[in-house]
Amino acid sequence: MQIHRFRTQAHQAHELTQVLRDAVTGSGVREGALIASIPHTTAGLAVLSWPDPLGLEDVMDELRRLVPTRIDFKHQHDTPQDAAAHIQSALVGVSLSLIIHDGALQLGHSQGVFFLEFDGPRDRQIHMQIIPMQEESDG
Amino acid sequence: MTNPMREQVLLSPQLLREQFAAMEERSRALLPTPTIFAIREVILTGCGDSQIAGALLREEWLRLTAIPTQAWNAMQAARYEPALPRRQSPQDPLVVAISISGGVARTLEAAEQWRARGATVVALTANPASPLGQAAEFIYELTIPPLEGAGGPGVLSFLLATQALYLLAIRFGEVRGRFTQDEAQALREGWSQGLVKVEQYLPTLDSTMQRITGEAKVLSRYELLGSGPARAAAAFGAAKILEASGHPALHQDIEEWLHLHYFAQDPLECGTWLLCSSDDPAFSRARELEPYLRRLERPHCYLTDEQGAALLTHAIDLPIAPCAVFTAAVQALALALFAAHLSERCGAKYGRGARGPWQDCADGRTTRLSERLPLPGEA
Repeated sequence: MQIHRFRTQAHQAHELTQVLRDAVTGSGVREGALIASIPHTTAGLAVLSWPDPLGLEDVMDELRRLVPTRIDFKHQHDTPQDAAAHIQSALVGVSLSLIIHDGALQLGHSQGVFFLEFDGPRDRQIHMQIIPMQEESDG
Repeated sequence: MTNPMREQVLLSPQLLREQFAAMEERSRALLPTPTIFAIREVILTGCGDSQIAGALLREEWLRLTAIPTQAWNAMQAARYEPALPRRQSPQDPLVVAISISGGVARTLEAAEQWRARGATVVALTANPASPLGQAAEFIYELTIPPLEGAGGPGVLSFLLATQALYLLAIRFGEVRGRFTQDEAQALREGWSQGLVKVEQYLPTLDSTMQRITGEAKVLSRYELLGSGPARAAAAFGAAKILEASGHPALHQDIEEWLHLHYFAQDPLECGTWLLCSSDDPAFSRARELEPYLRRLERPHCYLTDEQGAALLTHAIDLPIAPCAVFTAAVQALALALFAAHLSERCGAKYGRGARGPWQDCADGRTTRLSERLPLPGEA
């Protein structure tokens, strides 16, 4: 498993596409899958369209509209922002499975992998596990 | 010979650290989020050391929460302020009534008066079953460990109240979105790490204070000067000298001193402590006092930091602290050590032993037994 650590800004879609591409290249695996997972409960992992940064802001804004920061959450051990972020994280999910083909991550030309920070700024990490296809691993 | 106040000082960083995690949890669980958001004004009140703890934290509460914060003595809080016109809003203001025993009459009266007017009242006390605990809507319980032979004037209780108020201010700030959870955690860790530093430094400070009280002439009175949070530390130092050795001790703002106590008779008999680290906004003014003190021939000493000590003639440098409140708390500890050694040198009993003409104060009767004002609507 590979771990990549990074620092986020508050309520930001932080791009990780190249991090995942580099992990695949470094592994030497030609055919297989990459499982990416984040060990956090106030963030999400998603494939989004990267060419227009304002589209990323739309995603973040819309998730905040769906689950705004309110003061009447039952979870009050931390902060209202934290309580909202837990729900946004549950909606988006914290892991992705992506196909590796011909030694490269299979993403559409406008697709990118993004870490969605629902809290922040914080120190974060992503875990990546690369699984070769059975035929390839059998040699 | 045991010296209970000195022992409390030396034990306090370790005890504060041991209780830190539990107190942090209590700060989180104390008030529901809607209440934290409803508060428009904060009043910190109490008597004696408890009032001083509130005064010490007033600026930090304002800085961390951006909520207007007042630190009043209990008489002001109980009998003057409630009758004044003020903006009305539900659950407001937050009144933190501080009394370790929970039995101090004027603090109890303040809690009762404000609760009757719709305020959110928190009792900061070591005795939840006390009258103050019963009068408050919420209780922040302080745990005062039994200290063998340490039945002297409270140092640890003051520091625990200070730590509780600081943690509560951080809690308000993070819930209200003034800073992130990570930044809140960094503030907590800074405080915790500061306690480790102080624990390592205290034996040196203890030796210094023992030397000063051993070498210098015992004077007839003392003045302690500071501004901002250091003014609260000066007040605590004056309280400890009064309690431990019984010497008349006054505290004053550094600027005000030049307008008032500067003119006092017999300057050679007045030991003067000046509390001012180099990053204190009042430092330049504190430094300007030095030639005046020399001309008056007042025995004096600055409690400052390394940078401040390099600029002053008679100075003790204290370790760098994470925030102004912590700096003032360490200044308070230093003065408590001075008071403890002064008491020992003079052979004085704490609180005059509550004997002779002081017998009225036994068991805290002078502060517990007092007529309380009727509540609004009561006959």
